[in-house]
Amino acid sequence: MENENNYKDLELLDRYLDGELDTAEQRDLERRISEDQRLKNDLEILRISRDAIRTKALKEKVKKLHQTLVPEIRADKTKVIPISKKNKYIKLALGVAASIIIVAGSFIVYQYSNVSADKLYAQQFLSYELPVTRSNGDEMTKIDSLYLSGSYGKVIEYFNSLTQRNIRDYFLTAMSYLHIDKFKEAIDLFQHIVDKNNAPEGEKFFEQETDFYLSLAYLKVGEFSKCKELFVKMKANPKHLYHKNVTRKDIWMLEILEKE
Amino acid sequence: MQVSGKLTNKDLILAIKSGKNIDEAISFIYKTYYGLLENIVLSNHGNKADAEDVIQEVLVVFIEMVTKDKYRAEASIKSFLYTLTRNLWISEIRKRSSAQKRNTTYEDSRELIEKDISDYLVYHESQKLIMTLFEKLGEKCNQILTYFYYNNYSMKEILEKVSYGNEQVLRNKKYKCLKGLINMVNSSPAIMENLKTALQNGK
Repeated sequence: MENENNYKDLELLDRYLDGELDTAEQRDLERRISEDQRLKNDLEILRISRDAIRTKALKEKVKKLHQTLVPEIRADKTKVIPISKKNKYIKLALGVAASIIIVAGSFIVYQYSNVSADKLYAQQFLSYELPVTRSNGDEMTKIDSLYLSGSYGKVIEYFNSLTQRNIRDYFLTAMSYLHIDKFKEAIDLFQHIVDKNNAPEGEKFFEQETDFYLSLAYLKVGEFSKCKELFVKMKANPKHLYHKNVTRKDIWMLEILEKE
Repeated sequence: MQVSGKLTNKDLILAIKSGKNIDEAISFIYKTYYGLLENIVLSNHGNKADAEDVIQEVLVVFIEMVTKDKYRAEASIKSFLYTLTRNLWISEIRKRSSAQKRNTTYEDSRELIEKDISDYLVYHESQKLIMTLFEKLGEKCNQILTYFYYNNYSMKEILEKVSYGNEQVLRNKKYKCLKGLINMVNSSPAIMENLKTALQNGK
């Protein structure tokens, strides 16, 4: 008998969750629920159990589709791009690059796939704006305007024709090399800025910008330890311009890359 | 399975909510985001098999959250799936190293989406425990309750599929199965504790 009564309550709770009770039945049940902890408890368990039953069925559906879809995806992938170890590095490296470029505080989405990470990387570099520091008074120099107009080849050409070069020239030319994916050349020029800034006398120019962009260039050429060193430096200094662009996870990923 | 063209975020959400094109939605998500999601696991000490398990769970949780209006439209599906995968995988890593519980993992996070996901995952954890108990009920109970709650079949439709004499017998069987499940849940302190946390989180 007790079982039947329990089933009666259970049926009421079940119909309540389905919205099938009439107003009087519903009011009566809600009153009982508010007075009877056991009934309230059963209602919550029933609610989540019904949900769990649906979830289990959904899980089986996903599993079934997964078994068909994943081999298809893998087959497609191997057809188009054979995955070599180098490729894997590039993918991971681009993933890290993407993550540090995104503006701090925004919702971070890593672009792990080759194409989208590349796209994001390019987007960030195109949106890079000239710093407002001046080299020759208030006037915009020729290299500034070449850089601003996106004539990176001309920036490099102009730089090579100069007999006297300041740090700004080095920086903008290094940035231009980054724009055209000549990372080794960019590294050489950034390194020159680092050496200059490390000299005991004189002011420091583009020091933190160089940390950031040099680290990205290292990332692109697979110099993960050097990249990590700079990441750690930026992360360790809360006042660093790019402090917020580097996360612990990025450093962790570089450690993985270093080991592989 | 063919996915026709590119689905927008809105199309995808509608397909899931309506429940009519769920296979197509799942297929689209796999073809568009599988590589991205797999990389999250692979880049964080996981292997391909780990990624397969996590991504299946991601799909289940994502569909549930969309169905229950827990998906915030301001987040792109890509961001949402990314965050979900990362949270599930981090939680799995922690579980493996028997560290903290998931519900304390993101309590400092200011991201609303992170909070939604984190809260839902506590609830999902309870569901998973109940699913294990549900399997213990036996094939017949599994079948009947799935027809009722997942397929939303009517008594009449279920009677056509299972060998029960009449609706009353079927109804009794349904409640007997449910009662069995509730009793098992009630006598599992782990589930009850988890369930309490999930309910406190506003579920």
